Amino acid sequence: MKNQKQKNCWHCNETNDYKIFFCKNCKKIQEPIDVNEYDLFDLEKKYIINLILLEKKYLDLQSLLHPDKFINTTEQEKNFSMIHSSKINGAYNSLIDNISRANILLKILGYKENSDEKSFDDHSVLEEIMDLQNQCLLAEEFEKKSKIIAEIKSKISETLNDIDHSFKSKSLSAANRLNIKLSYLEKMNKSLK
Amino acid sequence: MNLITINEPKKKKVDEIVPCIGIDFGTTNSVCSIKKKEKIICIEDDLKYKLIPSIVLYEKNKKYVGNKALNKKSFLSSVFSVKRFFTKNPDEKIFINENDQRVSAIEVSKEIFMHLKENCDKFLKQKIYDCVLTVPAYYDEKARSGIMKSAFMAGFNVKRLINEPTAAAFAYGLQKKKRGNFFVFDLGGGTFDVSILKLSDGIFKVIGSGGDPNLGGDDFDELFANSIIKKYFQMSIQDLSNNEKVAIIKKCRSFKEDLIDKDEFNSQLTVKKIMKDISIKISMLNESIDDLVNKTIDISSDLLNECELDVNEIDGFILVGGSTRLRCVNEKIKEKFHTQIFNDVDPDLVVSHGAALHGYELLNGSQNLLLDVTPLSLGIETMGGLMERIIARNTSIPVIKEQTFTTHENGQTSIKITILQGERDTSENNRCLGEFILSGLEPKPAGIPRIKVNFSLDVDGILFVSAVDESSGKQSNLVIKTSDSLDVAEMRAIVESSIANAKSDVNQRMIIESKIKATKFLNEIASVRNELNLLCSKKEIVKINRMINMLKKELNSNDVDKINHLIDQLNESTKQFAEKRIDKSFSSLVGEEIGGV
Repeated sequence: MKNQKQKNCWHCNETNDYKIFFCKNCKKIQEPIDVNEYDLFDLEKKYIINLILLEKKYLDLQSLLHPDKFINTTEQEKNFSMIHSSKINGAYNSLIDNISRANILLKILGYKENSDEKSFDDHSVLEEIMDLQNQCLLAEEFEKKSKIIAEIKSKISETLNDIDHSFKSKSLSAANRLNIKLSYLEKMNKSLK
Repeated sequence: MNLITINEPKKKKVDEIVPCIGIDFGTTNSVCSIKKKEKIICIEDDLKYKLIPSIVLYEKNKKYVGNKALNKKSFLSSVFSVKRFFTKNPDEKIFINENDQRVSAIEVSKEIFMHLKENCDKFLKQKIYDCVLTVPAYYDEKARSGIMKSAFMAGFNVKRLINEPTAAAFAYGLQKKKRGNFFVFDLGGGTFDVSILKLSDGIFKVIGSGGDPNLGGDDFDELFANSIIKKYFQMSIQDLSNNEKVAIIKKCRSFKEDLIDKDEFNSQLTVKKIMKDISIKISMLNESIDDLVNKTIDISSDLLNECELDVNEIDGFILVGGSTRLRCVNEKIKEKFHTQIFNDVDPDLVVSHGAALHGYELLNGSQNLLLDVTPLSLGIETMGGLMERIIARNTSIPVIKEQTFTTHENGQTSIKITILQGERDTSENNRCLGEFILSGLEPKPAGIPRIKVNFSLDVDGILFVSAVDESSGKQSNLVIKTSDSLDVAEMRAIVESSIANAKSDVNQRMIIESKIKATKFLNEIASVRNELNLLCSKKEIVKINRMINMLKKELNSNDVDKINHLIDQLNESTKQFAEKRIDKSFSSLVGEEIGGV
């Protein structure tokens, strides 16, 4: 019986670790496997991540697997490279976004949203956001506006910390709620620019 | 028994260099370069010019391309700025060639590419097929595949399409090994392109691009010419005949070029047979083009805002395109963006240099990597004529994205997938890239079926779209029409997979192209055979069958004209059927996404 953590090279049939990008024997690019975003970049499963390190890992992986490096190879290898490279791009872009990163982490940690949780009913949060939105609409002078923008920014970083804290204390449902709050705040921040 | 042995591809010798030409196919001029022995050489034509005007002049039974066309005095039958037509409809036959036949922008451009190919072969004294071709960053799917098709028909093997501003930055980045954010300001003859690139450790990434496809030095020339004849002849440029207009604009262009290092000078100009002594001042040029120059600055600022970057986060401005030589353009940039200006590589040649470098590195290996983004959003049309974005603009390529859609009506058995490109919310304001029909769905209540639509965009920015009904799991559902880009991708695959084909002549390529088209068409008809028999009259069926047989027979021959003629005929006679078929099926999608992937 073959170990589940292993697979055979499509080209030379060598047995490799399933996660490997290149065959250890013939060095050919291997078929992409389903792997979550954190594992793809070999990151610790934490909410706050080192973005500089992530970018470096992203660029390192792209320099190995980008289709430009496979221009003189077979269609098969080109195709693998195209899928690898697409996955790396997709994973990187979802990890650098605070909201989608929280969703990814929730999924990895096995959080399942209850259907009654889908409608967002945290009234204190909703009120807080409505209040901010009203202030925005009323603020016409530049000074007042920039004050509100500063307030939203500080709320965003506050929420980021709260989310991180919830993940650390394994309260996934709280993390999910805070993440929805964050998405409201980010939306407002964007519309004010 | 004979065993077929498959050889490992031969490892190339260490010092054997695979040559690759870098082509900058411009609106006004085209340039070819190649990297040889650590140096980039610009290819010259017979007349020793590096800039090859992108002009084709059709005369009775004769055609002239490039500088030979420019030197002819007859402007009427010349085709200028053909590159601009790629963003419209590159297949539309709107030009008349030397044999009084109607030809498309793709076919006119093919002539220019053939001329470039000829120049390269003569200048380098060897035949080189591999090339890297540059395109404006905002070029959409249709434009990209169209221009690739032109180069392909002229005998080039396009190894990679890269964005012009990226190529320019590539030329600089390699020489200087910089880190940071760079702004590429490309003001060419006919187009204006801006891009922001992030360079780090030999990796280039485009983080955003914008521009105006209809703004360039040609517009400056016209405005300048207009202000000159207004001042000295009290006329408008619109009052002149076409031939005279072109001649005067050409003269004013040379005035403009003289103003690059002079403040004023005297000259003569003849308009409607009246010759006058005129004095040309730099202020006249600056005033006449001020609005347009400001527009380029505004577009640049917009891009910075969009990328959420401040001016002081930009480490340099790379100037590309002949029009950036103008002093007022230079000064305005310096005034607005206080940053280092890169202009030490000739702005007319820098794009082609970058392409040549990239081509060299692609084929010979290098530490550098070019990461690019898609310039425009891609999506599909949903209920109510809205565009649902699947791939947002400025997403890194390659990219594969899937989204699930559902049906709008009870019992719907087919859906039409219309592929759109653009930034507007309503589909009619975006460009339609093609459409196909997914049929054979099991009839179910509205909102129940899950149709997975998969968009896959490769490094050249060429798109593949597929749709699968999750419940039946079958993807074998027919495709009536696919986007043009698929044809080009298929053609390229065929050429790349066989060296013999890569070395064959232009005719051979046209035969391959027609045969692919014919085979595809025949397959499509075969896959709807049952419906065809149901929906068409006996007479129609007999007619269609006869044509199918004729076409099948012709596929063994190499007569391109005959094959194409039969395809057209067959297309005509199945048109009615296709229309009936679409009418028969419900053809809308519901806009609501039932779960992104």
